[in-house]
Amino acid sequence: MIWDSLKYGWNVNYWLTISGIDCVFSEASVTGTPPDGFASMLKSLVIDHSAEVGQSVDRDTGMGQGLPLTFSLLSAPALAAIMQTPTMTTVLTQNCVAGTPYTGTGTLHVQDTSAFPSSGTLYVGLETFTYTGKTSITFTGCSNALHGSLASSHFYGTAGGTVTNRPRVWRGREVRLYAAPVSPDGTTTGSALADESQEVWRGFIDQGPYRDGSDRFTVEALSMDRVLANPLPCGATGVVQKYSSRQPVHQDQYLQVVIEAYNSSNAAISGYPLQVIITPFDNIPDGTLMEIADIIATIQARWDAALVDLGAPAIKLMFNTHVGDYTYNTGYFLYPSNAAIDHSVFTVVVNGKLKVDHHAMWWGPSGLGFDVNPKPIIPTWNGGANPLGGGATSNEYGQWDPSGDTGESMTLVVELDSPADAIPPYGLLTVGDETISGKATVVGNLAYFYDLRYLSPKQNIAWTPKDNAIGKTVEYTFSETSDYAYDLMCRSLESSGAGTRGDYDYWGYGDGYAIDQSAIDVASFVSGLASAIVGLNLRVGGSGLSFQDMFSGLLALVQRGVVARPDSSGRVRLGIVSTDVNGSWYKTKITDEHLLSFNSEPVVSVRKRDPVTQIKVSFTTDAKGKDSPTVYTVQETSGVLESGGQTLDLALALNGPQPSADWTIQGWCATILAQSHAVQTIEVRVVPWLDVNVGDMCRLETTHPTLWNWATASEGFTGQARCIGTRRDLMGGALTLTLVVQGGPVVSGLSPAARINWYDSSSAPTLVDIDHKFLSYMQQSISENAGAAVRLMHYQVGMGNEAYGGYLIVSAANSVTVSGVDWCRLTIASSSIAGASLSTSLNSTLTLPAGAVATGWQNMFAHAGDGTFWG
Amino acid sequence: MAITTPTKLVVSKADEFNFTQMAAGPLQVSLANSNHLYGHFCPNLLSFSPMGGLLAASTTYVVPVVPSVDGLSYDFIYTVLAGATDPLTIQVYKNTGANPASGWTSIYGPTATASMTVGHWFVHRHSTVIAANVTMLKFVVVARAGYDMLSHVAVQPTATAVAPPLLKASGFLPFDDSLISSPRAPINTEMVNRAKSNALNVLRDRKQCIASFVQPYVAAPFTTGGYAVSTPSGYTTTPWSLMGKATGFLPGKQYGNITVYCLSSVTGGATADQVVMDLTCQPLSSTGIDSTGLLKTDLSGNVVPSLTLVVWGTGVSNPEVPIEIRVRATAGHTTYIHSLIAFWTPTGAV
Repeated sequence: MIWDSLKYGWNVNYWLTISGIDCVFSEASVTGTPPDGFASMLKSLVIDHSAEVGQSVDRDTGMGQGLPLTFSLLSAPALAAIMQTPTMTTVLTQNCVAGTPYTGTGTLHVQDTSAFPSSGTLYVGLETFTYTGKTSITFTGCSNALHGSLASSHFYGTAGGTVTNRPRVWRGREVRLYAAPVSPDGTTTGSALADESQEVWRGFIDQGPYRDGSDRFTVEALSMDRVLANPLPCGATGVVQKYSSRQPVHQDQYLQVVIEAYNSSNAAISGYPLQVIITPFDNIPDGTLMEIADIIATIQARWDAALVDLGAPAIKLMFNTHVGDYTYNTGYFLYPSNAAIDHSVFTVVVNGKLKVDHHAMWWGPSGLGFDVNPKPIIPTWNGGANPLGGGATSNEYGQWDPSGDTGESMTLVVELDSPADAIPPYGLLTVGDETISGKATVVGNLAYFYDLRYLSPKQNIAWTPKDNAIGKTVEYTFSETSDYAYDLMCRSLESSGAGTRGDYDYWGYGDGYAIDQSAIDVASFVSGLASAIVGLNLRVGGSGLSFQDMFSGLLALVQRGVVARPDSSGRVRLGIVSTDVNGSWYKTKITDEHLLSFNSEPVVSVRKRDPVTQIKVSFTTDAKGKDSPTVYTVQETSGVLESGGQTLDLALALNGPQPSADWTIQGWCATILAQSHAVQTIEVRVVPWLDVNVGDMCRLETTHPTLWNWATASEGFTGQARCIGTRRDLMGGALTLTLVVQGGPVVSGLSPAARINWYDSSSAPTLVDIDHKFLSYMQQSISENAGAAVRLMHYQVGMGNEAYGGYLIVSAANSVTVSGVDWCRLTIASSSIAGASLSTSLNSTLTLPAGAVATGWQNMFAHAGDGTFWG
Repeated sequence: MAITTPTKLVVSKADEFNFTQMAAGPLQVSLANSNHLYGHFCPNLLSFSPMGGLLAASTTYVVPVVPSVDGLSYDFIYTVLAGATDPLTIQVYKNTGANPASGWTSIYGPTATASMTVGHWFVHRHSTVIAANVTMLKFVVVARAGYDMLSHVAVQPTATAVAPPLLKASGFLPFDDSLISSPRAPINTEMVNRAKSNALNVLRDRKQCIASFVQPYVAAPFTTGGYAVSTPSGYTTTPWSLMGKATGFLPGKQYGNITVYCLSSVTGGATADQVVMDLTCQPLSSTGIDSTGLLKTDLSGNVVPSLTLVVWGTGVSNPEVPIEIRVRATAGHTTYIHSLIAFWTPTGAV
């Protein structure tokens, strides 16, 4: 960690990159090669005047609130070349799709290249290209996504399709700030600038660059997590032109009519069965939406043609309009041979998804074994069923069960306000003041929304407008449901429409923030949320909603936060952190020797927040509240009466009411209510080299009189503390931490339990392997025990007599090592295996010993009757 | 210091976990509940009302099963509407193979029931172990021909306490209270996880019958009795016939797989893809009605290996699933379903 060097008189040099700009800006001249993707360095960065930079998370919203960064770039000839409005401009004539590779061989199609040199650099939106050749209307030999910019889609005919020779757009460019150690004699280490550097801050340009004084340009940038409050654009807007019943047709749909005829001996009459099969849509593109009347007409035309091929107009196929209106048209049926017919069977088969309204089969004349009064034959939506069910007696025909028929599906035809580059195929549709779900296809400037349904719990009911829909405004946006909150969150962060940002780039253009997966700690989303949020089905999406709108309520309830912070990868990434004041083992210990007294008090502030006494949780499928929300109010009645209602309002984007989730949600609320009475927020100034980031659990052990330990009624504080904010002074590196501590009942983390994977002896082991994730824990156990050995209890899970498995003594330093890739190997100093030998098949597990024999470190974890509390 | 199996579930209140003194308390209740689940979760492995009207002199039913991997004892319950006082004789066989033509071993009987009272319902019960590898059960019922009606057969795990051997193939880990209740015992993550994993393992191991169709088993060459689908010759495209419909309803559950086992025969023609179980799923998935959830099971006179249909009911509690069975036969032939059982298994996060 570079800040350690400050202990020994070293200094720090800051440098930063701006995406798409081929230059690294540094405070000082540095040796070392520029990082990958950048060719030049410029000593022009002025950053000392910036306010502190850092990260924090709001526990009530679960959202990161990174501090902004302001920096300046001193004028220089090299900078002047960048700080210039474009002198050459053209526009795209074909879309430039993000997924298309431009690795030195790509082509950009533009209107006119005459103003441009034969080779050079191009700027399209926030993306930077280079080209090696050109024709009059193309740039050839293109490479894209250069200098830290991301491959993006650019659409011709829009402002985003402008191509220039200088950066046209600055706002939104990513800024990444790094710190590199500098020795007292001014030497930087490493052959490459990035070798010894650590990323300090990451975000996007919000303002500037603007001329600031006579010698510099100033840029103001916002932290990466701040963009999550930006609302995502609506997929499409428009006005309803028409609504009607339309259904998609498919080329493989067929209509089959089979007529069997038998004589009185039940023998088939020669020439029968008479069979006609038509595939009426085989020359129509698959999935084409057609109005019912058109479907019927198409079937009728094909049917008539098929009968002509039979040599006689055998059967008239009539189609009627909607329910309740049966009108019959006459027709006639001609048998090739009618005299010997005793009875017949009439079969109609409609396969696949052909949705035909009602069609009536009519046949006659009487006396030939058919009833002259036709009955409507209603096909099932799923098709494939024999509607008549067989039978061989006279006049027998059948009606098949239409319960699978979902009825007509309303289709809206909407004239779009502007051409839609891409709209989600399925999403949420707001028609006037109604929000429904539906599918969409676009033809020109018309969007066809079909399969329209009410939202959960009425999602199986086809929607019909409550009044005349023509002329109503429509907003359409994507919608997604999932049982996995982490999946939805990552999709929201990554989705760009091109599938290029990472594994979660799944949604359409404009449905997500298009953040590259390299800037997201995906593993923290999975590990931090997968077990915390179980049994909820979420629906996200809705016009004008932000990530914060969709997820902040859920994050606050489960005491998690999304924050941009430096992590173990050495980069600043968006990740999930815990905001729970309670936790298990700590990462860093903060003692009096770490507190900074220079220039100000080390304890900046202590705040005890007004306790929350009431939590109102609203469930809406559209977080803007367009549906009727179901509201839970979980409250502490005595608290409300005594101190008034301090209400926390949270919105959960659940996919409809879910009674099975009631207990879960109420449990979360109860936890927040119980904790809020004793939570204190402490700000402390500490030395720069303390390795603490937002979300880390620390152990605060201080005697400073500004702090009061409510649990022990004494000055100072000793206990666990959750870091929810860090601020670093860029001049001196001093760190200010915002910590939340539990002032009341102490809640400790559960004792760990590690399943034994391997051992060298079942009765007297000297080596035992457990999961690799316990490596840090075991190392810290020994370290905290002054290097002495620690004791672990053995028991066989589920095999009875669990208290009688004996124990292992893990020897001191160097006895906890890595075995292979996945295992932590313990060196056993001594053991006393009792009751049952070690056995992997019988679930041998190691846990902490009873509190009476546990070390001080081990006693920090939950033991029965240890004076701590469930929380 | 023992493994106990409570006879009832205990529901802890939410505030028992909030700022109560660290002790086994609510966690011990959860773990004990999982023992209760093992001993007292007894969903129907089989539940069918056999077709075929009144019992013949000897009637045979062959039914596919997916028993627990723990080799449990099962209660067999026969409900009969007596038309005569003559007792029935019941024998149950097991098969571990795929062909009902051979491989049968008796696991119960032949046992004569008590005498019945004419015009009254009569119930006969017995408990018999069904080994984990059993694939089919054969019920042979001997009665006075033409008098009695076997109205219903149910097979469900026998309620019992958790007992040795403690190592269960299903993954259930019995809870022993000796560790958690010892002085200053570590309250650890494994204990918390065990309560959940036990519940999941038991739920997933004990398949629940949600739809059934059973008629007397008649070995090939079969007669034209019973329900069959025949397609006259001359059809170039054979239509599907709706054989039956049921509605699966599982309150409070959100996820699941439906596994279908079908035992049937044909007179000739195609032996594959002649039976369809169609789920018109409710609620809808995010892509709308998925009528492509058709499952075509092979039809060869053998028990069909498990075929998972579709995951349904995602997201909303109390889902209903209309289940339709359709059958077809090659033109000029007949298809006869001996039995079809649909089992539900929870999946994913429960």
